[in-house]
Amino acid sequence: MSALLQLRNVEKRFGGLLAVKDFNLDVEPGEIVGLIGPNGAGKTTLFSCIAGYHRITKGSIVLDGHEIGNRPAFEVCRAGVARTFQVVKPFARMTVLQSAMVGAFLHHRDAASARRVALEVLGRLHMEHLAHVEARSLTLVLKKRLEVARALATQPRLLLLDEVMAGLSPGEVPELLDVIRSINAGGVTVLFVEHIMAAVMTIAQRVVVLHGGELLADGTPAEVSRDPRVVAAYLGEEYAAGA
Amino acid sequence: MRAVKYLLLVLAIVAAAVGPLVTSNSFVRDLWVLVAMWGAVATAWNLIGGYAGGLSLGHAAFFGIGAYTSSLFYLDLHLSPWLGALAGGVVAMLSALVIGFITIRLRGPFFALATLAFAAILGIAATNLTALTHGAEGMTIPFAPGLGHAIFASKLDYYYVALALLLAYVALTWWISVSRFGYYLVAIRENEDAAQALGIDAVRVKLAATLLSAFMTALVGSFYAQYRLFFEPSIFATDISVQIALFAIIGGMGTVWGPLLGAAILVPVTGELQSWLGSSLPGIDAFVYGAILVLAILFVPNGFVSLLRPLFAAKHPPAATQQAAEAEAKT
Amino acid sequence: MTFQLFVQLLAAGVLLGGVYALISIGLTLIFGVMRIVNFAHGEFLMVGMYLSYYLVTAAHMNPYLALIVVAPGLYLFGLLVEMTVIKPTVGQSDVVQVFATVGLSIVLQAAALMAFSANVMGLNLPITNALLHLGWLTIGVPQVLAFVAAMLVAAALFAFLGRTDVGRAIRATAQDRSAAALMGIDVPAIYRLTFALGTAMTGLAGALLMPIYSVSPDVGTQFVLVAFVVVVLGGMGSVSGALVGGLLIGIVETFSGFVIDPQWKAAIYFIIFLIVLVVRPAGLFGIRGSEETAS
Repeated sequence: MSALLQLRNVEKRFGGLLAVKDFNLDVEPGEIVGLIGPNGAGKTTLFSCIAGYHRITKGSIVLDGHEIGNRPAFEVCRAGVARTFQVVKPFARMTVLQSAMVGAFLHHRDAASARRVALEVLGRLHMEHLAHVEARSLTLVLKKRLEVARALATQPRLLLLDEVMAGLSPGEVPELLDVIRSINAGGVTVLFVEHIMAAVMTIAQRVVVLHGGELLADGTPAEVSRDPRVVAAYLGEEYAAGA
Repeated sequence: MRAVKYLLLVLAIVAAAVGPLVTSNSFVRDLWVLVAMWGAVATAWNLIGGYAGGLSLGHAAFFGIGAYTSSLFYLDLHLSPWLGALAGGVVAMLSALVIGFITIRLRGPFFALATLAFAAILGIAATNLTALTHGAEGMTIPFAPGLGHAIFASKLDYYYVALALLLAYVALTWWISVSRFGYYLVAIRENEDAAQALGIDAVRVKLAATLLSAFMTALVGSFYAQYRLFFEPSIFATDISVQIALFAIIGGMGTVWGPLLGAAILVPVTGELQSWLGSSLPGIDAFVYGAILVLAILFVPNGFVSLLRPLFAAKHPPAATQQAAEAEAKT
Repeated sequence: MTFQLFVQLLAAGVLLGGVYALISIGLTLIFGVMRIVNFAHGEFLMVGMYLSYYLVTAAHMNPYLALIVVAPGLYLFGLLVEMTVIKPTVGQSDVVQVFATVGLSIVLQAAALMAFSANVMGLNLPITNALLHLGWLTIGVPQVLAFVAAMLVAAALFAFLGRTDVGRAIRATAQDRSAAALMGIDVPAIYRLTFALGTAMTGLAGALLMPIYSVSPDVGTQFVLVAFVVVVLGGMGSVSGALVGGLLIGIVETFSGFVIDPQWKAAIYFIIFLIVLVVRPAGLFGIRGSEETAS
């Protein structure tokens, strides 16, 4: 089986700061992979490198056999990678439906089919009743969900989710987890950054731990949560004891 | 509601078609021509200024390029201004390509300044390249009526030409506003990073809007030359660029009808102010005009179109949907 | 070009540059702190020039003594404008900010036309024509005085921003307005102060220009473009950038006026302006990113 996304020796340097060092990762088609690590570990930087928002200083990023490293963001999206932003970037004066349609237009030239795809995506995210609300009047939690809807409407093969669960109440997390599972069941590979450990451990088939810009561990949630280096660097003794 | 909207549209078109026939007053007919003409230019500006969010203060450049190109075609090459107008459109697009590459990454006020500088350079060139442009003396087109010359004895003929352009531009804007291109422009205006993440080549889309807007503006510039039969390098002046932008802003930028509404309000107001007050004290008309603008910008920042919106209450009243959003937030 | 001519042109360029720097400092200060590009800046200069003109011709003041009245006068004028037109635009979209000040410039020009007519008026006093002879080098006394005053004002501004609590509060607000607010700085008051201060400095520039140039209602449009070029060249928001940018533009203008047709003079500014925007949009001393789309 050949990987959908292949990162080889990826390095990102900001001036004197090495944010990502010699990073390797394979994401297989259909996987749900969680990317975790302490603040400043380089998770969002790595996302930005994959999505074309940062230039990588070394290495290669290959999507399904095609190099996407250092391609502009819109080309990466056209190749099949959609992302959300940790700090939401809504189209403030567009409605929820219009925002999702912008994504859907990538593969559907005419407005009628873009609208159909957008409505279908909103339905999957339980947002159809908000279709005609302007994005700027949504709560932060809903703005995050709109990020997912927009990205999904581009019908990507790989979806990069950057802390979409932050700010959710414990009751809301399972609902969004179900949504992500159903997206994945629809054939979309998911790579996500998340701080809510319970969510990561529930949904991820594989967990990758980033620490100081380097790969610290890569395995199933159970393996990773038992790994003493991960416990020391990130999870803490308490979590290990509880798991 | 939809029926009311279409009825109003039909009424407006009928009024526009027969309006100038009602009067034989030349001043009033001139106002009709000017409303249609500036309405068309403001609609062209709106594509880049309103939809794409690029606050151009240099549209006089494209307007002037249109006027000079068609006039030079006519006077020096003896080609019909109809052809010259198309040539002017092409020249304007080429210049938009150059200035577009320079300015496309600049933020609001800087984009405004750069486009302003671009029009100013053309104004200086038009003043000093006397062999080509007759310099400060200006361009005079001899009055020789004829369809091929695009010169008409009656203001009505000019009016219908301007009206045709205006309707075509408004229709084009409507079509863009409901199509992918329009969605992309608005997405770029609202958040360029997010737009790129959804596969939009922002530079290319913005450049396309700039070229289209330049072409449309230049056509009206050619019309202006054929209508007035005289113009000077001051056609490139910042005042003209500001005017064009203000029509769209006061009317409602980023909307299909806003720029026309702005021209329909401001053109008669300036005309009336000049004829009422202009002779009593020089400057008082401009003073009142400027004061109205400042007040309108501060108190009706979304343009007069936003005041009319309640008339066409949408299928989804914003108040109701907002409550839905809040209810959702609480659950 | 002989050495003597070169020095003569350089001296003239530096003196002119000092004036340009003075015109631009107010603009860049206001932008740096409030992020507002004031399109009515040229009209503030015009107001300063008229005030100085009438103080000299009607009240028979010495044109340099008139500075003492013009500076506080324009400070008050700036306060008034800030409270009526500028304050409501803070935090609003670029359109509102740009066109509120564009509208203001139309209003001020029209008001000047109503009050003073379109006549071009200049001062004709012994001092306005006085020349200074340094060996073979000849320079105008008003030019020297304007240059010296410009440098003094810039030095005073630096001292104010660097050494006083209020000055530090202004710099803090320029760097991060929300952090400044959290530190207990009254941001609206700082805005008011900065705008009035910038206006007063522009008025001072106007009063210093009055013995050199003549005034008319549209005089601002001639100078505002130079000010924008200087400020973009030096870096929007940078006071030292405005100084260096002013000197550079003054020198370039003087030399280019000698080499090419003066008719094209303004085109040179704009071409420099566009080149700076392409090559280094943040200017020589600017804050990178402030001029580009958010990214």
